[in-house]
Amino acid sequence: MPDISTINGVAIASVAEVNSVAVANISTIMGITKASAASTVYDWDFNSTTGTSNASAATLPSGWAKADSGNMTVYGSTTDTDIAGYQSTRGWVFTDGEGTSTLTGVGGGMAGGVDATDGAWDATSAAGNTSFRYMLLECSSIKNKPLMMMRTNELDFSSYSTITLHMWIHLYGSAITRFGVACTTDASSASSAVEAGSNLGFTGDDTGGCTIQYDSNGDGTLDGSTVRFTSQINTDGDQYNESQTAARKWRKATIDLSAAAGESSVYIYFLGGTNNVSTYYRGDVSVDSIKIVAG
Amino acid sequence: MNCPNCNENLNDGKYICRQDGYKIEDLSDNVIFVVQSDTFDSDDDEVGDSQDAKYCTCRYYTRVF
Repeated sequence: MPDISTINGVAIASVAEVNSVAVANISTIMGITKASAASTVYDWDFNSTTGTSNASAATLPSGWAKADSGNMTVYGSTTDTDIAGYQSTRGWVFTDGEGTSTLTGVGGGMAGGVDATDGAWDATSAAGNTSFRYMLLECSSIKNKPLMMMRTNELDFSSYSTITLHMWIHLYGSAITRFGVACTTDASSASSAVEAGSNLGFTGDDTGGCTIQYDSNGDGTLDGSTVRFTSQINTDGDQYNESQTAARKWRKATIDLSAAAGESSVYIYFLGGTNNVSTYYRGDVSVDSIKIVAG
Repeated sequence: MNCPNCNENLNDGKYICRQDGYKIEDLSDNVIFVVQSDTFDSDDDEVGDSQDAKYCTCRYYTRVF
């Protein structure tokens, strides 16, 4: 694992040379490995890895898995909610285009990809464009299904000391119920019992899991912090042809996963749910353009 | 307001969830076109949920708030 982040108290990023040798050309200093510059080590834009069908879980990114048939642990002895018969088209799915239910969802997939600096969406058409796919918690038909998860493939954090997950999120709808993220070492559990680092696993419906720093008002700054979203942060946004205002755009969010540094087998879980109100279908949560930057 | 695709006048209608999918209908409940086919239970709360919309026969539509 990289060990050197400072030299004589000066951040290594601010040091140009050591003994007249450019720091950029040095791999070890006195036998200790220099921390490498952070770079993107995993990314998912979902555009070529999730098929082309609307609201479908038929094709997942390689190694990803859904938990919506009571097949995984969310926390303690609590498993995910079985959405019997709807696993392929509801809950966590992949799609493109604008939200179909009224007053919830996005205008379209992220336009700028994993390196986007702005939350603008693809405005090709209402039906969307398969070059701009995104992950969606599709709430239609699944009233009062509180705990559904999607997880990544196995990730290797053994070579890194600092790890940050970057993603773009969109939560618009009066029935947004929950959204959270966990990081564990178990392929079938998001529980704190198997968390990949301190405070990265779920402990309850709305407790535990990763702390998410996010842009609360669309001004580009990460001024919000939570382990669970339980209401909307966007106040509009479900039509492709509306003006791209801050209220409607995707929002940047980041998670410090450095507590999982050194772990060679890690999974990231995305948790969502629906509630029991009559407009439960206005609870769509969208996630796009995820990347993990580590060094 | 004219259609941005073909410049025809937009008509008043509604965007509505029916048991077999999301549709654009005119103000007399006549189906103009299907936006997206889907399947809902007849007692699903979403069935019948609608928003005002303006539409063109070229399949352009926009929901109105």
